[in-house]
Amino acid sequence: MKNRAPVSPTDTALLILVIALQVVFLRIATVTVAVIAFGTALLFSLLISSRRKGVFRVVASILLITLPVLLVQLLFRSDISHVVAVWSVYVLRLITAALTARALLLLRGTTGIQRGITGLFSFLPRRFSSTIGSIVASSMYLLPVVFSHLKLTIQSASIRYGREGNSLVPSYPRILSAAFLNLADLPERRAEGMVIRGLVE
Amino acid sequence: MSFLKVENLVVRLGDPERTVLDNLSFSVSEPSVVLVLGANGSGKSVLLRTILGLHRIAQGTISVDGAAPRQQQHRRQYKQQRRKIHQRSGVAFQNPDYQIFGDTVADDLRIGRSDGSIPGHPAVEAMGLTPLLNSPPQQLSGGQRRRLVLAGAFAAADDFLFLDEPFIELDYPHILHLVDLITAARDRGTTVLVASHETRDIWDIADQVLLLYQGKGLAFGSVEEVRHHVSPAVGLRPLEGISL
Repeated sequence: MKNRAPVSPTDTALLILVIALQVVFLRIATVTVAVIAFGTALLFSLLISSRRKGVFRVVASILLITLPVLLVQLLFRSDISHVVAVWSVYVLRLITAALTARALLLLRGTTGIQRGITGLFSFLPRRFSSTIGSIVASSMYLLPVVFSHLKLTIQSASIRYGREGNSLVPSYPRILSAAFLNLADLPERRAEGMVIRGLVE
Repeated sequence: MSFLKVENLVVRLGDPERTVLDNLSFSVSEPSVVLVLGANGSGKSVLLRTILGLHRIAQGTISVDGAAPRQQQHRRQYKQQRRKIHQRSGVAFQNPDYQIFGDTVADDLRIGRSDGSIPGHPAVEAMGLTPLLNSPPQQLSGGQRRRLVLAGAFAAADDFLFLDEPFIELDYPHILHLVDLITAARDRGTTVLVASHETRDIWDIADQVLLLYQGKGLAFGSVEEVRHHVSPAVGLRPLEGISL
C-alpha cells in the first residue's frame, strides 16, 4: 500500500467554494454585474499570482476560442450590436469563472486540491481515486450545461407525468427523478468542460 | 371544444433581454391544423412553449376556453390553466433527448397513463414502434427517438397537440404516416399546432397558417391568404410545385 496524503478539510472546502463560484459566475444575469465580477476577478488574480503571464494566457485562450464564434455570428446575423453584447457578456462570465478558479487553486496549489478530492476516495486503489478526482474537478465546468439540461427535462417531465391522475398538483418527486435520470445523456458534453478545464490547469 | 386565443403577446428572453415574440395575436376557434411557419429564430418554438406556460409573458394574454389569467397578477389561476393545458395536450418538442424518460420504448409510452398500459393509439403502429417496444431508448436512432416522442404525444393529446419541427429526421414513409395522424387527430376534435420552417410536408393539410418573421406575426389566415407571403425574403422555401 502506498502512502496517502491525508484528506485536507481546507482543500475540500476550497473545492466546494470554487464549484459554487463557478456556478454563480456562469449564471450572472446582468451586464453590469458581469463587468464588475470580471474586474474583481482580474484584480484578484493579479494580486494572487506573481505570474501575470498566466492570467493573460487564460484571457487570451478564451478569446482565441470564442472570437471565431463572434466572427461567424457577425457574418450571418444582421443584429450586430445584439450579437456583440451577448458574446461580450458570455466571454466576461467565462473569463471571470476561469480566473477566479485559477486564483483560488493557486492559493492552495492545484496538487493540494487534487489531493483533497482524491483523499475523499482514498479507500479505493489510486488509479480509481485519481480518476474520480479528475471527473469531479472537470464536472464543475459542466454545471451550467447540467442546469440548462435539467430545466428542459423538468419541463418535459412535468407535462408528460402531469397527465397521471386528476390532481392539479403535479408529482414533483417523480418529475425530478425522471429529469435527473435523463442527465445520463450528458457525458457527451464533458468534452466542452475539458476544454475550459485545460485553460486553468 | 378547444379554444385558443393569443392577444398582443410579447415574450422577452435571453441575456441581455431580447424581444422574441412581438405583439403577436391570433385565435383558433375550432379544431384545426395550425401551421406556425417561420425561418430559424423567428419565434415558433418560443410561441409553442409560451402557450404551454414554459416562458414568462412580458405583455399580453393567452386564453384557453375563454379564461385568460394574467401570469403576474393571477398566479394561482395561471398555474391551474397551465396544468389543465398540460393534462389535455400531447407535446413533442424539437429535441427528443429531453423528453424520453422510460427504460424501454414500452415504459416510455406508458408515462402519463393512469392504468400503466401501452397506448392502443394508431400512432404507435404508424411510427413503427411495435417491434421496438422492448428496446432501450439509448439504442434507438435519431429518427426512431423522434418517432417515439411523436407517438407519445399523439397518444396523450386530447384537445391540443403541439408538434415542434416534427418532420426532422423522419424518412419518407413516416412523414406520410405523420401527415395522416395529424389529419386524423384534427378530425377527432384536436387542435394541432405544428411549428415548422418547411412547408412541403404540411401545407396541404394545414387549415390555418401563422407566418412569423423575426418574432412578429406577418400573416395569419387560410393557406390561400398566407400563400403570397411565403418567400425567400422571409427565409422560407418558395411554394412552387406544392398543390392546393
